[in-house]
Amino acid sequence: MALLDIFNLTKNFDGLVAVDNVNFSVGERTITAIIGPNGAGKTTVFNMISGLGKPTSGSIIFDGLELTKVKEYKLCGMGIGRVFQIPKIFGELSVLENVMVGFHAQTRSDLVKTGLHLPSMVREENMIREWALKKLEMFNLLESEEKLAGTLPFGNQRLLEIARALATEPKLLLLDEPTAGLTPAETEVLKNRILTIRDSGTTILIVEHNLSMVFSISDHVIVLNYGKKIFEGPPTLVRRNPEVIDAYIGRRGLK
Amino acid sequence: MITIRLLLRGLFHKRILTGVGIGVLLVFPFIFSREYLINVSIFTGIFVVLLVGLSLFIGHVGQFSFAQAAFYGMGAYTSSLLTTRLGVAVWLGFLAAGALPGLTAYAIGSLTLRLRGYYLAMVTLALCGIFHVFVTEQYSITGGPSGVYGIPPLSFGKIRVESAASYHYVVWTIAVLSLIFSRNITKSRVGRALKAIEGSEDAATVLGIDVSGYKIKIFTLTGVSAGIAGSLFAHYVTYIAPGNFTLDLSIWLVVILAIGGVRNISGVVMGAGFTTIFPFLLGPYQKYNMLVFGIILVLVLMFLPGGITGVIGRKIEGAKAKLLV
Repeated sequence: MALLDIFNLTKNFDGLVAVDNVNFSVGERTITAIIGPNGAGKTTVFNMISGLGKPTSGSIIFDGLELTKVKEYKLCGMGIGRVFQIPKIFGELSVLENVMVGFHAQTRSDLVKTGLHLPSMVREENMIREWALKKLEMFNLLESEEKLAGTLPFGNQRLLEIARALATEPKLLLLDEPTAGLTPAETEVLKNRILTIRDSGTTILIVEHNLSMVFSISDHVIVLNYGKKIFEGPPTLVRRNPEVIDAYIGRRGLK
Repeated sequence: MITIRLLLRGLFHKRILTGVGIGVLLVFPFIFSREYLINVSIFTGIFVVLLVGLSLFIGHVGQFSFAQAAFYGMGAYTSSLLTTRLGVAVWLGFLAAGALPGLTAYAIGSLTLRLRGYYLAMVTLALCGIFHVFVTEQYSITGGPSGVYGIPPLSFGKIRVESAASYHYVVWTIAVLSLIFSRNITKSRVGRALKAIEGSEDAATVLGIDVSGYKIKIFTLTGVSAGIAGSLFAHYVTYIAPGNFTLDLSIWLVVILAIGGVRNISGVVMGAGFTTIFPFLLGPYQKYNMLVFGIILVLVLMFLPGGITGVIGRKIEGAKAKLLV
């Protein structure tokens, strides 16, 4: 069954058609990859799914609900998590606090409750601290718990951002080029993490340039070029499709 | 040696500093019985209340507002007019003085803070101008340029706050409570959300944070706290006029936070104290105040980004680290 269905999705930026009538579905508990050259509209598609920019036309159905009419900040609570191409961690918060922000949508203490330091707020605070520590433990970031997130090395910043996104307990996790800037060893670690996340029941939609990784982990691949979908199918078929090879991989790319 | 170390560590401890501060406030009217020194303390307290919301808005949301003088004036005029013209109980006037600027801030914030960028800063500049023209021109309501006089002292039921010393305690109770309130906010779920918004609005949004909602709430808080400060001011001086609430004051408040350090409570207290004693410091050279102030601002921005308390905070952290070795 599909968790996410995208119908005729189009985005215009002042006359430039960044995404042009794109349709695809993402099956539950699968890893679906979107590939394509720079400027193909991959990040724009991600933005529309995660609420950062409304589509010009088309619809996005997630878990049976139309997303384009939902307020952008409510998508997180509905089960959509997002990791950015360049990690957007909060550099002035500690590593632990970054993950605690991930529990925002699951907690309720408002301005008055926190200002008055009410017991219910303290209980909630202790609870999410525990939860956040568990997430850090999963990602081997426990020893950096108190450091400012901005001081972490790049690879760990990316892991922290994924840990933070998982704290929101997403049904669908959007990963935008997660291996960009990572060393081969770090990429390997991350690849295994992604598989673990999928196995624990989270559906993954990934934009990625590292094709050997894409072909080894994904169940389904969507190829975009100039905002249009030019092909989709299982990895084995994508790497043999001549149109895809022309547009993106190059004739000598994969032998 | 060890005792000296322990003593130094103790002095650097925030709780002890806070305790010493509150102790000084408690005995202040007994030690400094001269009216003008108590005035300094009262006005500092009023400025703390006036700055506390603004410091959250600038330091934790990353937005600017020049509406503070208008909200301050709105609070002062609301409780003055309600109590002198309509004979409303002072405590009710005091509450209304917090509510009206709060509602105004909510309305303005709802209209402008949904947009990205610094539109609010521009709108608040205009608000200050409009407020000033309104209170100056609407003679029949506000008394025009001659202002409102004969404002009764603060009273809660039968308890009247008349002496300067008792006013000192009332003002500082409200000031300390508002500082605690704002500190609690910054150390909590809401504070993290605000820092997240300042860090990246996109990242905050995908984590479920209502970015414009929080901006509007904190802006509303700037209105409420300024209104309360305005009411405290009016019922103490018993006479207010449009000249107390000009755009100059709004700009001064934003700048003084930049100098004091916008991120922490000591920056707010320092800014408030400096605002009160600055005219005294210059003495006969009053007319050069803007020049001196400008030079201080430029020097702070060049050499102490993060403000004076930001730098002191870092020095203390450094000294602590050395002492603990």
